[in-house]
Amino acid sequence: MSLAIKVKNLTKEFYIDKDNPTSLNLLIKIITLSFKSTKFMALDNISFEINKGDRVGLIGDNGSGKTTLLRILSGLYSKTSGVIEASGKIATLLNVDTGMEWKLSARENIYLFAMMLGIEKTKIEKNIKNIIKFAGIKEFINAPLGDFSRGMIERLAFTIFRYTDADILLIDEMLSSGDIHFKEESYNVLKEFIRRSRTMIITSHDMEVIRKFCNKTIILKEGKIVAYGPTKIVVNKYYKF
Amino acid sequence: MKRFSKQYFNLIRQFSVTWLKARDRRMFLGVIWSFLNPFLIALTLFFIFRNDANHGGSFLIYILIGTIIWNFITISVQSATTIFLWRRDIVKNLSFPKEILTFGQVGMYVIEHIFEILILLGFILVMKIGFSFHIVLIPLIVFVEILLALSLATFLSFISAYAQDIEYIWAAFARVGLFIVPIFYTIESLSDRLQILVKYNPISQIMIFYRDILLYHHWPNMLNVVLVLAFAILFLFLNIAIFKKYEKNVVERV
Repeated sequence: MSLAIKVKNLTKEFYIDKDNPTSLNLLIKIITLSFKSTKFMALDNISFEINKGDRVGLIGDNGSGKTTLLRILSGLYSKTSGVIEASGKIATLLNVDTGMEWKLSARENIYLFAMMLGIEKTKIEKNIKNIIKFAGIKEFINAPLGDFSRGMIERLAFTIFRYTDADILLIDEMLSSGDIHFKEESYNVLKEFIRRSRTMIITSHDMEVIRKFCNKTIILKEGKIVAYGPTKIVVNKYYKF
Repeated sequence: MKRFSKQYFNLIRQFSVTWLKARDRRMFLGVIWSFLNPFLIALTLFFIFRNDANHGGSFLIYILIGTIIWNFITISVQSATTIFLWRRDIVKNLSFPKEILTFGQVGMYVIEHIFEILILLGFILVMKIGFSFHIVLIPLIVFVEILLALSLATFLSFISAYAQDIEYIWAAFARVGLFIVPIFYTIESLSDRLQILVKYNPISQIMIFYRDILLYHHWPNMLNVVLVLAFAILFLFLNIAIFKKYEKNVVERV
């Protein structure tokens, strides 16, 4: 089976000044050679391979490096060292309400959000009725987004995300909230992604989501991969860490 | 998203229009403010220089041209210096060339600037200064002006990701600059040494181009037009190249 993502010896270090200096203080510290920063190893020499069509769950405690890994894979962050090879276009959904304008209507936000995700405007125009229908906001399509509940916004964002034509989808903590109907509908979208053989990486603290949709799972702990393999086995291990 | 693709330009346009709409929504006058602000400035100048207005209005138009160009460049660039901080969620979570945010922000003010130019043309008509065929060059001058604003905004928005003082430095420059570009006075009234300082900066040149065409009804110095255009294009593409190289650092930094 061909590879969608190959990661070899990936390391990501951040340098943090615990004193949180102002720009002037920082400049003085650099000039006087008294600048001392603490190295924080967000990802520590990790390697893994993901086959095309795999749905990989990424689990671990808060601060274990899950979001950093997704940001590096999506090209947002640089890597300190290592090699990443990705075959295909990557789309990322890291935060559902990113860039949305609260004073504007849901309709206006659909276009804005879709175009930020790299979806062609013509594609949105063609599918606007389906988006409104699936997001369940027909009556509120012209209402300001600020009046929407968190669940409604998540549903809207996820509905738009389904129209991305990327080969690899990176989804961060998306399916953990929302009502039971939203979850059911979101699950249907994920099933559709799977039917289309899209490769996915999903981070979640909800083991139900991971068990239901991921054939493989990675456990990250303090920036290191401590387990990677079939979901059934790995999720059971997670509870032991 | 590839730089300079159709999606790239569509997203810039979408940001400009959406942010302008978002800013004006829930206001009583909404988008009318985009007309009203420059109109009020023009009207104020009209009353201050009423005597001049009675004698042809050329000084009123002279100041109006300087004011709207200065306001457009300083305000649009000022807003770009805080764009990554204000739109941190987009910077951190969405993967597209980040200079699009800067261009979108400047684009918002370009839309307003078009309204300002229309009001300027309206006042030229009311003052009976008239138009000559030289006006065909105005779209090119507006284009050069926008490129200049974009190049300055791109440069300063990038620097601001590392030193947020830039916002205050530019604000100070905008206040002092009122007196070092020919908004309220003519270049000829300055000493030779000062003339060089005032004349040979691109913002002053833009003002001179507008005045040559709209006020004095002759062609601007085309060599200077080409020089400012070349400067704006080169500076803009240099900044885009810097963004391309250091974009991930910016994302991590904000």
